[in-house]
Parts: sequence; C-alpha cells; structure tokens
Amino acid sequence: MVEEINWEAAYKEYLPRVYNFFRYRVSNEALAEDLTAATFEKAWRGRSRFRRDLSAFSTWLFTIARNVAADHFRRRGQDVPLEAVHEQPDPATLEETVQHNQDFAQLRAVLSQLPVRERELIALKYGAGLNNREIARLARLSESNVGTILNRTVEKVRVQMEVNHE
Amino acid sequence: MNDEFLTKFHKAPRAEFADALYERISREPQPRLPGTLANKLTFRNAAVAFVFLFLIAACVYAVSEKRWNKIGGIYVEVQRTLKVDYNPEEPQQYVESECLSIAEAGEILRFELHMPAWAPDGFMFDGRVCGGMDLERTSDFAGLYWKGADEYSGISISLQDLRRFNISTQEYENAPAVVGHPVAPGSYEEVQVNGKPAVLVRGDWAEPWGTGPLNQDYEFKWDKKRALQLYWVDGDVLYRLYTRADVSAEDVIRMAESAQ
Repeated sequence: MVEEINWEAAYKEYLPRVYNFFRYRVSNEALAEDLTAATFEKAWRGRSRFRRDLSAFSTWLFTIARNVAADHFRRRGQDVPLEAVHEQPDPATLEETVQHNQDFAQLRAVLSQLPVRERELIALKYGAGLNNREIARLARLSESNVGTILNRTVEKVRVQMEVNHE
Repeated sequence: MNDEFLTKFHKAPRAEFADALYERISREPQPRLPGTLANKLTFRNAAVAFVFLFLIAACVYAVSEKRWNKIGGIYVEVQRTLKVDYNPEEPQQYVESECLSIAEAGEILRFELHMPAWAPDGFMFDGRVCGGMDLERTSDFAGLYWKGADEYSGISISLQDLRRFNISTQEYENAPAVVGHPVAPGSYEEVQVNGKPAVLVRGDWAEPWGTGPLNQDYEFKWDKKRALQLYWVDGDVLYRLYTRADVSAEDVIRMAESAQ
C-alpha cells in the first residue's frame, strides 16, 4: 500500500513530537528548535524518497531526527551539562514558571550525564511519545530490552533527581 | 514511583517558530538539475536516459524488492536482507528481562492480558510475565513464554499496546502508528485468527556466521526453517507468537485463537 504524505497533517502531528524529542535529547531550547528545523528540512527535501503510507512516517522521520542529533554531536561533541534556561513565561504565574523551568533544568542536567543510548531512549519514549515497539525498531533492540533499559534508566534518573533535590 | 516526572515537561513549539519553519520549508523548491546539464536535455537524450533509468530501476527493484504490505492492521516490510544499523563505537546493552506474576502484571499493564487457554502438547507456561516489569510503573509490553523440551524450543508470545502517548492531550490514544515487521519475499501469508486477518511468517533473519564481527555493513539473511511466527491484532494490542520448536501452523493458530 503506497500513499503520498499529507505533509501539512504530518507536520502538525509530528512537529511537537520531534521538538520534544530534541528538548529531552539536548540541553537548551534554542538548539532543540534548530535541530527540529534541520530534521523537517531534510524530511521535506527527501519527501520524494518516502513511499510508504503515513502510518510508517514516524519511523522514517525519527530516523532522520536521530541522524540529525548524531551529526550535531559529531560536530560539537557530546552535550554539556545544563546551562540556564530562558523561556517565555506561559504557565499561570511567574513563580510556577520559574519552578517549572528549574525542574526541567534539573532533569536535563541529570539526562546529560546518562550514556548516549539511555538518553536517546528516554527522549524517544518521553519526549517523542513513541511506544517500546517503535523505539525497538529504531534502536535495533528487542522490545523487552527497550523496556528493561528504560525501566532502569527511569529509576536512575528519579533517584538522581531526588538526590539533587535534597 | 511513576514516570510522570518525565512527561510533565512537554511543551508545544513556539507558534512563531512552527509557522516560520513551515513557511520556509514548504517554499523550498525540489532540487533542480544544473543549468549545463539541463541544456543537454533534448528529447533524444531524455528518451535514452529514460530507458537507462528504467533498466536501472528494474535492476534495483529486483535486487532490493523492498515494499510494505498491510494485512489486518499489521505491516510487513518485504526485503531480501536485513541490514543492521550498528555503530561499533556504541556499546550494545543486553540486560535480562524483569518479570512478574500474571496477577502482578495485571496491575500495571495498560491493557487486559489475554492468556492463551490452549498450548500444544509438551509446552508449559512458565508462569511469568516479562519485559521490564516494575510494579510501580505502567507497562505497554508483556512477554510470555511456554517451555518446551529444551531452552531453544519454547513458544513465546509478546503483547504490545499499540496506543500512543499524545503529548497534546497527555493521554494514550488509539493510533495507527504500527512499525513494519521485516520479512523475506515469499515468507509470509495471510491467515485468520478468530475470523480476523493475521500474518503467518515462516522463517526468521539469521546472522551470517563467519563473516567477522558486527559492523555497519552487517546483513542478516532469511532462514526459512529458523522459526514460525504469527502476528495478530486484538483490540489495541498487537500479538506476536514466535517459536523455533517443531510446531505446526495449525497448532500455532489454535493457540492464538484460544487467547480471548
């Protein structure tokens, strides 16, 4: 079964997922936007090579996103621990915004200390919202391996977050 | 413990960023041929080029024969070899699966666990539900195993919740995003499980032993006698039965149909 991409619909659905994948993968918002843009630019230029139906679009798009991230880290080295987060306040109060940003900054700092594969799995699961099967396909791991690695990584991150909080 | 602390930081992209990016890329034209080459595109040259391209495309198709087919909500990706995207600089992690009892797993699985009520003679369920099980976290995956005569001849069934986490609504939703299962040409057929289309696959990818250590060109070849596999979908759950034991297709389907 072959269908053309409905690019507008795909963009609407996948932009937030790719963007959040990079927000969990790298350590600042501006870079997440840059890498998101690079991913969609590559996808757009290569769209004529994509001949699967839309349901497999996520595999193709996140393969591009992973390659964009890998290219970035090859050029610039691995991610450094967190820098200050500067974002527009949109939650209810400034205090909540500051706390929210500090919490995310702390999470990113912990994630930046993880091995590459673990951080990538976290980004695919909790940033992009992929399920274990989709991640297994992308990462060339078995589904049970993905589940187990994620399980241990989440526990590791949670413990470190608690230690940092104390 | 739950994993909410990891999902609560989702954020929608800035509208200005999203709009500007869409406008920028959608205005970008398709790559064009250089002018000097374009000037040579006479009708005669184009016709010759077309014939060559057709022959090349036919050869490439014959070699790769990669295509996608959908059977009852299950996608199969047909290809002659399976290339592994392996980075030798990146260590592979293989860790043992963590398991729970059926009752414990029922507490954390996001879907109802439908156990097969029947298995072929000589196969015994080992009583565990495996695959990164943790009583303090929900799970979208479960692995079941029926022991056979030895450790290589059991029957495994994995269950995967096909729903996807929607970062906009912060809820799990039914989504058609099913990844394809790579199979070799002629290795699969459509069958019925409880009246619904399912995919029976004869064989599995096998490592090309003796070709050296893993590298980026490592390719798996199809071994049609290596395994028997059955894929079917029940509600929001994708089931995959896999066995290397000497079990007939009829028994595999019967076992699947007993999982209700």
